[in-house]
Amino acid sequence: MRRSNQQTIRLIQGLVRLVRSGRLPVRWLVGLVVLAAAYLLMQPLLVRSLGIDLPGLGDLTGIVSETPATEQQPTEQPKQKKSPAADEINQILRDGSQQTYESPAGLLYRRGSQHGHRLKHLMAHAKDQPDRPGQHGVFDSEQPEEIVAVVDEAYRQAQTGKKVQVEREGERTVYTVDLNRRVGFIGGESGNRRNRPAARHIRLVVEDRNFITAFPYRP
Amino acid sequence: MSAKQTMYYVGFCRVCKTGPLGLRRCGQCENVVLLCDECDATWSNADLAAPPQYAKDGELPCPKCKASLVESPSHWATAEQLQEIDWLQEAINGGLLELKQGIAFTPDAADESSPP
Ligand SMILES: [Zn+2]
Ligand SMILES: [Zn+2]
Repeated sequence: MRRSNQQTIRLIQGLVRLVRSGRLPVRWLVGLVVLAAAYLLMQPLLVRSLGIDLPGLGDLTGIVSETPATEQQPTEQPKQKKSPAADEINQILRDGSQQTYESPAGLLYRRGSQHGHRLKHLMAHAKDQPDRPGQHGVFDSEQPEEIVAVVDEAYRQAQTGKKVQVEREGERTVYTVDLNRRVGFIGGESGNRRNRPAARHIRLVVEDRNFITAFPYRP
Repeated sequence: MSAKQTMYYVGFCRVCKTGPLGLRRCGQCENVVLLCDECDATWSNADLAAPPQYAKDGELPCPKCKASLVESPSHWATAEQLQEIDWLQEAINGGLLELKQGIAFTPDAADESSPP
Protein backbone atom coordinates (compact mmCIF):
# COMPACT_ATOMS: atom_id res chain seq x y z
CA MET A 1 0.00 0.00 0.00
CA ARG A 2 2.79 2.32 0.97
CA ARG A 3 4.59 1.64 -2.26
CA SER A 4 1.53 2.28 -4.39
CA ASN A 5 1.07 5.65 -2.60
CA GLN A 6 4.61 6.60 -3.52
CA GLN A 7 3.95 5.57 -7.08
CA THR A 8 0.85 7.72 -7.16
CA ILE A 9 2.74 10.73 -5.76
CA ARG A 10 5.48 10.29 -8.34
CA LEU A 11 2.88 10.03 -11.06
CA ILE A 12 1.22 13.27 -9.91
CA GLN A 13 4.59 15.02 -9.69
CA GLY A 14 5.32 13.95 -13.26
CA LEU A 15 1.96 15.27 -14.43
CA VAL A 16 2.48 18.59 -12.57
CA ARG A 17 5.81 18.97 -14.37
CA LEU A 18 4.10 18.40 -17.68
CA VAL A 19 1.47 21.08 -16.84
CA ARG A 20 4.15 23.57 -15.74
CA SER A 21 6.10 23.10 -18.93
CA GLY A 22 2.87 23.81 -20.82
CA ARG A 23 2.76 20.45 -22.55
CA LEU A 24 -0.39 19.41 -20.69
CA PRO A 25 -3.47 21.70 -20.30
CA VAL A 26 -4.70 22.09 -16.68
CA ARG A 27 -8.17 20.70 -17.39
CA TRP A 28 -6.63 17.53 -18.80
CA LEU A 29 -4.70 17.19 -15.59
CA VAL A 30 -7.89 17.55 -13.55
CA GLY A 31 -9.63 14.97 -15.70
CA LEU A 32 -6.71 12.54 -15.37
CA VAL A 33 -6.57 12.98 -11.58
CA VAL A 34 -10.31 12.28 -11.32
CA LEU A 35 -10.00 9.21 -13.48
CA ALA A 36 -6.99 7.99 -11.53
CA ALA A 37 -8.75 8.50 -8.21
CA ALA A 38 -11.77 6.61 -9.50
CA TYR A 39 -9.55 3.76 -10.72
CA LEU A 40 -7.71 3.61 -7.38
CA LEU A 41 -11.02 3.33 -5.55
CA MET A 42 -12.52 0.81 -7.90
CA GLN A 43 -9.50 -1.44 -8.47
CA PRO A 44 -9.71 -3.48 -5.23
CA LEU A 45 -13.44 -3.89 -5.63
CA LEU A 46 -13.12 -5.01 -9.23
CA VAL A 47 -10.36 -7.45 -8.35
CA ARG A 48 -12.46 -8.92 -5.56
CA SER A 49 -15.77 -9.07 -7.41
CA LEU A 50 -14.54 -10.11 -10.85
CA GLY A 51 -11.63 -12.24 -9.71
CA ILE A 52 -9.36 -10.65 -12.28
CA ASP A 53 -5.91 -9.19 -11.78
CA LEU A 54 -5.77 -5.48 -12.54
CA PRO A 55 -2.53 -3.50 -12.53
CA GLY A 56 -1.93 -0.72 -10.02
CA LEU A 57 -1.10 2.78 -11.23
CA GLY A 58 2.59 2.20 -10.76
CA ASP A 59 2.38 -0.75 -13.11
CA LEU A 60 0.60 1.32 -15.68
CA THR A 61 3.23 4.03 -15.66
CA GLY A 62 6.08 1.56 -15.75
CA ILE A 63 7.68 3.18 -12.69
CA VAL A 64 8.10 -0.21 -11.16
CA SER A 65 8.70 -2.88 -13.69
CA GLU A 66 7.99 -6.05 -11.88
CA THR A 67 6.75 -7.87 -14.94
CA PRO A 68 8.73 -11.08 -14.94
CA ALA A 69 10.83 -11.66 -18.04
CA THR A 70 8.89 -13.92 -20.33
CA GLU A 71 9.88 -17.42 -19.42
CA GLN A 72 12.41 -18.95 -21.79
CA GLN A 73 11.08 -21.99 -23.51
CA PRO A 74 13.28 -24.75 -22.15
CA THR A 75 15.49 -25.87 -25.02
CA GLU A 76 14.94 -29.48 -26.01
CA GLN A 77 17.54 -31.50 -24.12
CA PRO A 78 18.70 -34.73 -25.72
CA LYS A 79 17.21 -37.29 -23.39
CA GLN A 80 19.45 -39.88 -21.78
CA LYS A 81 17.30 -42.62 -23.17
CA LYS A 82 18.28 -46.20 -22.83
CA SER A 83 18.63 -47.29 -26.41
CA PRO A 84 17.62 -50.69 -27.71
CA ALA A 85 21.28 -51.05 -28.71
CA ALA A 86 22.29 -50.91 -25.04
CA ASP A 87 19.92 -53.77 -24.30
CA GLU A 88 21.26 -55.82 -27.17
CA ILE A 89 24.84 -55.19 -26.07
CA ASN A 90 23.99 -56.17 -22.50
CA GLN A 91 22.35 -59.37 -23.61
CA ILE A 92 25.56 -60.40 -25.33
CA LEU A 93 28.02 -59.19 -22.71
CA ARG A 94 26.08 -60.08 -19.58
CA ASP A 95 23.72 -62.84 -20.53
CA GLY A 96 25.97 -64.62 -23.01
CA SER A 97 23.59 -64.25 -25.94
CA GLN A 98 25.12 -65.43 -29.22
CA GLN A 99 23.08 -63.11 -31.39
CA THR A 100 24.73 -60.88 -33.97
CA TYR A 101 24.89 -57.23 -33.02
CA GLU A 102 24.84 -54.62 -35.78
CA SER A 103 26.38 -51.31 -34.81
CA PRO A 104 24.91 -47.98 -36.02
CA ALA A 105 27.67 -47.77 -38.65
CA GLY A 106 26.82 -51.26 -39.86
CA LEU A 107 29.60 -53.35 -38.35
CA LEU A 108 28.48 -56.87 -37.53
CA TYR A 109 29.65 -58.33 -34.25
CA ARG A 110 29.15 -62.08 -34.41
CA ARG A 111 29.91 -64.98 -32.19
CA GLY A 112 33.47 -66.21 -32.51
CA SER A 113 36.94 -65.53 -31.17
CA GLN A 114 38.32 -67.12 -28.06
CA HIS A 115 36.06 -64.85 -26.02
CA GLY A 116 32.99 -66.49 -27.56
CA HIS A 117 31.67 -63.28 -29.13
CA ARG A 118 33.45 -60.47 -30.97
CA LEU A 119 31.77 -57.91 -28.72
CA LYS A 120 33.26 -59.60 -25.67
CA HIS A 121 36.60 -59.60 -27.39
CA LEU A 122 36.28 -55.87 -28.04
CA MET A 123 35.51 -55.32 -24.36
CA ALA A 124 38.72 -57.10 -23.43
CA HIS A 125 40.30 -53.86 -24.69
CA ALA A 126 38.44 -51.79 -22.11
CA LYS A 127 41.02 -52.79 -19.50
CA ASP A 128 44.75 -53.15 -19.45
CA GLN A 129 46.34 -56.58 -19.24
CA PRO A 130 49.78 -55.60 -17.96
CA ASP A 131 51.23 -59.10 -18.30
CA ARG A 132 50.03 -59.71 -21.84
CA PRO A 133 53.04 -60.10 -24.15
CA GLY A 134 53.66 -57.14 -26.43
CA GLN A 135 51.20 -54.29 -26.84
CA HIS A 136 47.65 -54.29 -25.60
CA GLY A 137 45.63 -51.30 -26.80
CA VAL A 138 43.24 -50.03 -24.13
CA PHE A 139 40.30 -47.69 -24.75
CA ASP A 140 39.91 -44.71 -22.41
CA SER A 141 36.23 -45.52 -21.97
CA GLU A 142 35.01 -48.65 -20.24
CA GLN A 143 31.44 -48.26 -21.49
CA PRO A 144 30.50 -50.78 -24.18
CA GLU A 145 28.31 -48.31 -26.07
CA GLU A 146 31.04 -45.68 -26.10
CA ILE A 147 33.64 -48.16 -27.29
CA VAL A 148 31.32 -49.42 -30.02
CA ALA A 149 30.75 -45.76 -30.99
CA VAL A 150 34.44 -44.93 -31.29
CA VAL A 151 35.00 -48.07 -33.36
CA ASP A 152 32.09 -46.97 -35.56
CA GLU A 153 33.71 -43.58 -35.90
CA ALA A 154 36.94 -45.21 -37.04
CA TYR A 155 35.02 -47.45 -39.47
CA ARG A 156 33.14 -44.51 -40.98
CA GLN A 157 36.31 -42.47 -41.29
CA ALA A 158 38.07 -45.44 -42.90
CA GLN A 159 35.37 -45.54 -45.56
CA THR A 160 35.92 -41.89 -46.39
CA GLY A 161 39.60 -42.64 -46.93
CA LYS A 162 40.62 -39.77 -44.67
CA LYS A 163 43.68 -40.32 -42.47
CA VAL A 164 43.54 -44.06 -42.86
CA GLN A 165 46.04 -46.69 -43.84
CA VAL A 166 44.51 -49.78 -45.42
CA GLU A 167 46.07 -53.26 -45.55
CA ARG A 168 44.53 -56.36 -47.06
CA GLU A 169 45.33 -59.91 -46.06
CA GLY A 170 43.17 -62.43 -47.84
CA GLU A 171 39.55 -61.69 -47.05
CA ARG A 172 40.53 -59.39 -44.25
CA THR A 173 40.90 -55.66 -44.34
CA VAL A 174 42.89 -53.89 -41.67
CA TYR A 175 42.42 -50.16 -41.15
CA THR A 176 44.72 -47.97 -39.13
CA VAL A 177 42.68 -44.85 -38.55
CA ASP A 178 44.02 -41.60 -37.11
CA LEU A 179 41.18 -40.12 -35.07
CA ASN A 180 43.23 -37.02 -34.32
CA ARG A 181 42.59 -37.16 -30.58
CA ARG A 182 43.48 -39.46 -27.74
CA VAL A 183 41.26 -42.55 -27.68
CA GLY A 184 43.25 -44.76 -25.35
CA PHE A 185 46.71 -45.93 -24.48
CA ILE A 186 49.10 -48.77 -25.06
CA GLY A 187 49.15 -51.24 -22.21
CA GLY A 188 50.34 -54.81 -22.03
CA GLU A 189 53.92 -55.69 -21.16
CA SER A 190 55.49 -53.42 -23.72
CA GLY A 191 53.13 -50.48 -23.15
CA ASN A 192 53.64 -50.60 -19.41
CA ARG A 193 57.41 -50.66 -19.85
CA ARG A 194 57.03 -47.43 -21.85
CA ASN A 195 54.75 -45.76 -19.30
CA ARG A 196 51.52 -46.42 -21.20
CA PRO A 197 51.87 -44.08 -24.16
CA ALA A 198 48.71 -42.38 -25.44
CA ALA A 199 47.09 -43.69 -28.61
CA ARG A 200 45.08 -41.67 -31.10
CA HIS A 201 44.80 -44.35 -33.77
CA ILE A 202 42.48 -47.32 -33.91
CA ARG A 203 43.48 -50.49 -35.65
CA LEU A 204 40.36 -52.17 -36.96
CA VAL A 205 40.27 -55.63 -38.50
CA VAL A 206 37.20 -56.60 -40.52
CA GLU A 207 36.04 -59.20 -43.02
CA ASP A 208 33.55 -57.35 -45.19
CA ARG A 209 31.30 -55.81 -42.54
CA ASN A 210 32.17 -58.43 -39.97
CA PHE A 211 34.08 -57.06 -37.03
CA ILE A 212 37.09 -59.14 -36.00
CA THR A 213 38.92 -56.87 -33.59
CA ALA A 214 39.75 -53.23 -32.88
CA PHE A 215 41.96 -51.51 -30.37
CA PRO A 216 43.84 -48.25 -29.72
CA TYR A 217 47.12 -48.34 -31.55
CA ARG A 218 50.34 -46.45 -32.22
CA PRO A 219 51.64 -47.05 -35.74
CA MET B 1 36.80 -66.07 -14.80
CA SER B 2 39.50 -68.51 -15.64
CA ALA B 3 42.94 -68.21 -14.12
CA LYS B 4 45.82 -66.75 -16.04
CA GLN B 5 47.26 -69.31 -18.39
CA THR B 6 50.75 -69.84 -19.60
CA MET B 7 51.08 -69.62 -23.34
CA TYR B 8 54.18 -70.30 -25.40
CA TYR B 9 54.43 -67.95 -28.33
CA VAL B 10 56.73 -67.10 -31.21
CA GLY B 11 56.62 -63.40 -32.01
CA PHE B 12 53.60 -61.39 -33.07
CA CYS B 13 50.89 -61.52 -35.72
CA ARG B 14 51.61 -59.61 -38.91
CA VAL B 15 47.88 -59.21 -39.67
CA CYS B 16 46.72 -57.36 -36.57
CA LYS B 17 50.25 -56.39 -35.47
CA THR B 18 49.42 -56.94 -31.84
CA GLY B 19 48.53 -60.53 -30.96
CA PRO B 20 51.20 -62.94 -29.82
CA LEU B 21 51.33 -66.10 -31.97
CA GLY B 22 50.51 -68.75 -29.44
CA LEU B 23 51.17 -72.45 -29.92
CA ARG B 24 47.75 -74.04 -29.89
CA ARG B 25 47.28 -77.77 -29.64
CA CYS B 26 44.24 -79.47 -31.11
CA GLY B 27 42.45 -81.47 -28.46
CA GLN B 28 41.49 -84.15 -30.95
CA CYS B 29 44.45 -84.85 -33.28
CA GLU B 30 47.20 -83.17 -31.19
CA ASN B 31 48.24 -81.06 -34.15
CA VAL B 32 49.91 -77.81 -33.07
CA VAL B 33 49.36 -74.56 -34.95
CA LEU B 34 50.32 -70.92 -34.51
CA LEU B 35 47.24 -68.99 -33.43
CA CYS B 36 47.07 -65.23 -33.04
CA ASP B 37 45.77 -64.45 -29.59
CA GLU B 38 44.13 -61.26 -30.90
CA CYS B 39 42.62 -61.84 -34.34
CA ASP B 40 42.53 -65.66 -34.56
CA ALA B 41 44.68 -65.80 -37.69
CA THR B 42 46.20 -69.29 -37.87
CA TRP B 43 49.35 -70.70 -39.48
CA SER B 44 49.95 -74.43 -39.79
CA ASN B 45 53.72 -74.17 -39.52
CA ALA B 46 56.67 -71.80 -39.32
CA ASP B 47 56.02 -70.34 -42.79
CA LEU B 48 54.53 -67.09 -41.55
CA ALA B 49 54.78 -65.53 -44.99
CA ALA B 50 52.07 -67.92 -46.15
CA PRO B 51 48.48 -66.68 -46.09
CA PRO B 52 46.91 -67.39 -42.71
CA GLN B 53 43.62 -69.18 -42.16
CA TYR B 54 40.80 -67.37 -40.48
CA ALA B 55 37.89 -68.41 -38.33
CA LYS B 56 34.74 -69.12 -40.35
CA ASP B 57 31.25 -68.50 -39.01
CA GLY B 58 32.59 -68.24 -35.52
CA GLU B 59 34.42 -71.55 -35.77
CA LEU B 60 38.17 -72.00 -35.75
CA PRO B 61 38.74 -75.53 -37.08
CA CYS B 62 41.97 -77.47 -36.80
CA PRO B 63 43.54 -77.52 -40.31
CA LYS B 64 44.09 -81.28 -39.96
CA CYS B 65 40.97 -82.74 -38.37
CA LYS B 66 38.54 -79.76 -38.32
CA ALA B 67 37.89 -80.05 -34.59
CA SER B 68 37.54 -76.70 -32.87
CA LEU B 69 40.81 -75.10 -31.85
CA VAL B 70 38.96 -72.81 -29.48
CA GLU B 71 36.76 -75.23 -27.60
CA SER B 72 37.95 -77.68 -25.00
CA PRO B 73 39.89 -79.94 -25.09
CA SER B 74 42.07 -77.81 -27.41
CA HIS B 75 44.52 -75.74 -25.37
CA TRP B 76 47.79 -73.83 -25.36
CA ALA B 77 50.54 -76.40 -25.75
CA THR B 78 52.84 -77.16 -22.85
CA ALA B 79 56.65 -77.10 -23.10
CA GLU B 80 56.75 -80.89 -23.19
CA GLN B 81 54.17 -81.08 -25.95
CA LEU B 82 56.19 -78.62 -28.01
CA GLN B 83 59.25 -80.86 -27.86
CA GLU B 84 57.44 -83.29 -30.15
CA ILE B 85 56.67 -80.75 -32.87
CA ASP B 86 59.29 -81.21 -35.57
CA TRP B 87 58.59 -78.12 -37.66
CA LEU B 88 58.74 -75.97 -34.53
CA GLN B 89 62.00 -77.43 -33.25
CA GLU B 90 63.56 -77.03 -36.68
CA ALA B 91 62.48 -73.41 -36.89
CA ILE B 92 63.80 -72.71 -33.39
CA ASN B 93 67.13 -74.45 -34.06
CA GLY B 94 67.43 -72.67 -37.40
CA GLY B 95 66.92 -69.31 -35.70
CA LEU B 96 63.69 -68.71 -37.62
CA LEU B 97 61.49 -68.58 -34.55
CA GLU B 98 62.19 -67.77 -30.94
CA LEU B 99 60.08 -69.48 -28.30
CA LYS B 100 58.87 -67.31 -25.43
CA GLN B 101 56.62 -67.88 -22.48
CA GLY B 102 53.82 -65.47 -21.69
CA ILE B 103 50.31 -65.07 -20.35
CA ALA B 104 47.41 -65.83 -22.66
CA PHE B 105 44.97 -63.02 -23.43
CA THR B 106 41.80 -65.03 -23.60
CA PRO B 107 39.93 -67.33 -21.27
CA ASP B 108 40.57 -70.90 -22.27
CA ALA B 109 37.60 -73.23 -22.37
CA ALA B 110 39.94 -76.16 -21.78
CA ASP B 111 41.09 -74.78 -18.44
CA GLU B 112 37.57 -74.12 -17.23
CA SER B 113 36.81 -77.81 -17.43
CA SER B 114 39.64 -78.73 -15.06
CA PRO B 115 43.15 -79.11 -16.48
CA PRO B 116 44.54 -82.61 -17.08
ZN1 LIG C 1 43.05 -81.50 -35.05
ZN1 LIG D 1 46.47 -61.23 -35.25
